[in-house]
Amino acid sequence: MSSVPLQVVEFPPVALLVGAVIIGSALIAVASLTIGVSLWEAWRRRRQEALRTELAGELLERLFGRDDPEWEQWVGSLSARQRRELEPVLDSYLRSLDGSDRIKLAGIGPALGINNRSRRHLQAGSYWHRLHALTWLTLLRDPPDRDLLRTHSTHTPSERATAARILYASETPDCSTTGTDLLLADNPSAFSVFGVDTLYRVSEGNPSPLFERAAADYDEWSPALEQQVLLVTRHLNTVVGSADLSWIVQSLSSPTERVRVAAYRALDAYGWNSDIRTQVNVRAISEDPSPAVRASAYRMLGAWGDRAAISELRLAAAVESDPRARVVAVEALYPHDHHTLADVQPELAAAWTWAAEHARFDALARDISSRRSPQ
Amino acid sequence: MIDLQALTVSLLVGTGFVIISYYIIINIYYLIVHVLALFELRDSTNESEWKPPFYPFGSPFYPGIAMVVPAYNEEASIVESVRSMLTLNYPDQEIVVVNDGSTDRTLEQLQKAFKLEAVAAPVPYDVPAKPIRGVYRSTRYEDLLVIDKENGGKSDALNAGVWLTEQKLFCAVDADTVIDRNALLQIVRPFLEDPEKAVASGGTIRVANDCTISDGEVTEVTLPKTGLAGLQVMEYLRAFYSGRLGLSRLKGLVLISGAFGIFRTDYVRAIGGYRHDTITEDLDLVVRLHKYLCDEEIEYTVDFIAEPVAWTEVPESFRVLGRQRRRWYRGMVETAVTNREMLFNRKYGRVGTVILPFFIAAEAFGPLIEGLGYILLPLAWYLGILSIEFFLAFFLLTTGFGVFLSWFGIASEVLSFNRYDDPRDILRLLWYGILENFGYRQWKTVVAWQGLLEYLRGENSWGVMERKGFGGGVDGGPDVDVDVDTDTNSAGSAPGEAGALASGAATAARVDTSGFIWVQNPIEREPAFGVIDGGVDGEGVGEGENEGEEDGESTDDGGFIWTSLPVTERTPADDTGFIWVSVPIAAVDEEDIQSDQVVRDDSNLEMTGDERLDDGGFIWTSLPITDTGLLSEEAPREAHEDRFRD
Repeated sequence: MSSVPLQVVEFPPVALLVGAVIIGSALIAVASLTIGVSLWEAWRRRRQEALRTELAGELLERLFGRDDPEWEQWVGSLSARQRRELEPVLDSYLRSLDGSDRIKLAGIGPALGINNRSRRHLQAGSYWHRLHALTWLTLLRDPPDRDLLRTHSTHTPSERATAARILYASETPDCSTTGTDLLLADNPSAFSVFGVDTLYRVSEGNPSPLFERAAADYDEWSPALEQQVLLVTRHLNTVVGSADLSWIVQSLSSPTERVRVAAYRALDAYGWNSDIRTQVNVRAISEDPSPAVRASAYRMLGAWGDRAAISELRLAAAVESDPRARVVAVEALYPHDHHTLADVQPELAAAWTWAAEHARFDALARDISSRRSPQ
Repeated sequence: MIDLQALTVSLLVGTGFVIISYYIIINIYYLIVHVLALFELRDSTNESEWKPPFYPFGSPFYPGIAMVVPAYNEEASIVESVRSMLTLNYPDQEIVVVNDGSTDRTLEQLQKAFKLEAVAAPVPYDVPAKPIRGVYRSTRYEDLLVIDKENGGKSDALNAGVWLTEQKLFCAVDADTVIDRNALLQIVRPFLEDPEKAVASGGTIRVANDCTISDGEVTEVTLPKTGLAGLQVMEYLRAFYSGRLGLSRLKGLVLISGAFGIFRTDYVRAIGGYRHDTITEDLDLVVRLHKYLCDEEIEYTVDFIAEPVAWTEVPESFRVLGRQRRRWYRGMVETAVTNREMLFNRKYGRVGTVILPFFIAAEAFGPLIEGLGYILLPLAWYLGILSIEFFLAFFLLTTGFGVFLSWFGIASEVLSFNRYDDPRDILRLLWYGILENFGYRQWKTVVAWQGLLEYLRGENSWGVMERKGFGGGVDGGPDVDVDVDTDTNSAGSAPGEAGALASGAATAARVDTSGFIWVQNPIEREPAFGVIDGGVDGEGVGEGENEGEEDGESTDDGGFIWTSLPVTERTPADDTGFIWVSVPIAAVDEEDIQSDQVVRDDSNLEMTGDERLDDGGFIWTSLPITDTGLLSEEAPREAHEDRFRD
């Protein structure tokens, strides 16, 4: 068999050499980096754990064992490395303590220079620097100037939320107004759960700024933001009798399903408000094509819980075609309507027994929880 | 003859060009994915380092998560698993255990441990699963629901759980996966950051072999002592910290491990839930989610979060690993074929036009082409057309690049979360990155070809494996249970490897030797039982420090299974013998105890079948060991049972 030369697939030696050098260099670099970092981290971790334990002990001793913790003096005696390691320890305790202990502990922030550094980062730092700066100021309950917040903390929903959080955490008098403004000015995109929670917190005591802004800007919001504001509204316990809630009613006919779902639940707390109720076309609930929307409406009627709402709910449940929505209707009905199974319409029997059984278990679990809690 | 030779040579040369071209293209793809993974890892690390200044447990806005736990014959570990899940840190969590027609006492164990009572009402809506025999709720734990249904496989069980929960999200989790305490708080992050768009999120699966597990949590991370498990650690790091992170960066994650991933409940219901006729239901689910959301023109994200970690055991024998990888390969091909309309279809965006084609080209064709190369090379040498210099240069370059990609994954881990405290473990991992190129990688090409042949033959079994578990089974019973492997294929593997990585099952007991088999599992606070009847032939079956355990000697961390035949020769009918159990004998089904059985404790007290020991002993069984839950990996099972678990 004659051999056939394979000249066509032979690489020039130079090309092979270049390839080998590139890959060889990359291998050496990655291996060196990996081993080096691993060794460094192992060494650092060992030292760090011991150091943090030591610092935490001293910090707690000064916090709880003395009237005057003398933060400045202590921090002044620490090395730069010790000060660096002290910050995560401080972060951890600031998140877990409350009341006078937390206020006393926050006194160490200025000694460590965290407050000033955070303000600097807020003005001229990167995104993560700004976010961490806002977080520190929140933990230290040290709200910066409002202008600083408005100018440098509204680039992203996360920054907006953290900026508003400082005001809430610091219990500033303008928490509701400025907080709502920081969060909702310029019609931002949707928030993270932290942002939604912050909107809820700043509005908890005084929902008027939120309702006023919603009434003014609601049409310009994205469906995602609409849904989030409606979600917050549902959880607000402070009912404002004179507030303009027409935007919620308007949302009941939103083309977006999830907005309608949220809108019905947002009205849970307004069953007493005859103005609102007259605007809600309860009879139209059954005509909504979305079972999720109908289920949400049933929950709203259940939350209203008066005779008229329960009557509507009973009618709606009887004609509900979606089995899952029917169960929700019955679950909403059950606490107000203790029929025996024999009295229940046949089409609701299965849902009724299911709801009754789960209500029984819920009560049982709650009973056990309540018996456990005093202990 | 000359013409035939010329034709052969031309074919070989042409094939060689195709292979080299393929190699270059695929490796460019891998390199891009790995580099993108670095950026994603940087962002992911930054995000995980920032903790918003609020208390999640006080917020009413955290989305509820249902942990859906399919369970089939998990009596040894299900109680511990559920207890472990009940302790996870998350503000709004429900546990939904689905007993998928277990033939052991899984349900009874749950009933006893959690004071379950039946919900005296049928489920009032349709559930796309095998008939539900009953729904149970705990009278102690408000958020624990147990569904008892007829056996239908893992997908079927997951569907039952998905349809019976009202939580916005559900987390598919294997009963024997150990989840970090804060993992739910971490894996849910995409749903917190972008609640409107997040649809699914997956976390990292890591290898638990030889790690220390205490109270359902991994407390000490060490590299497995055996090379095969160690190789898989390296593969997992490469797959998760490079492959999936890179694909996540490209907004093209097509795979979330079935062992640990969370999904929007409503969207999964909208696509009909998990498909029953697939053997890699996790890959199939994510691909179908992409398809559905693109079809509906819904903006969405499917994310991979590097830090939340779930731990699983990996196989420690080539036989078991081969079976696992063949299944993964078949599942990947099956999913690609089923969803072929997505390929090169602009309607499906980046996933359809770029990610899936490359994924399939790399993961499905890669090992096949590499395997082909191993055949063609000797042929070319025989025909005298192989340039040895060229071959060596090509081999060194490809191997070097493969090692580079593997080390990239290890470097990513070290630079980010750095869970391996001991730098010697990192050195070993780097060594495995080299070692895998000499034998292991070639073996995987054979496995891929076998997987392809099995797919073409229409084989759809899952195969059965033994898993030693993480210790401390119910009542301290031997924690050997039989399992089939989990999930998954992944991008980011070295060229030519299937890269099918994620959680898997492990073989714990040495089952290829006759006589007494030492089962190395912690058995807490159980009395010891002497080995009886026939003495111990421990030669070759003991492991480590437990080797040489003598009759009557107390043992608190394992037990013996006596088999009358070499396991490799056993059939179910032959699987008779004494089985040592530390669980109460009452825990064994009555029908499992034959009329001629003798149950003894270490004082040689003979008991009849209707008598009970309170705390364990040897059980004679003439039934296949499979029926006791201590399965041989060779024991055949019904296909629907085989397909149940990951």
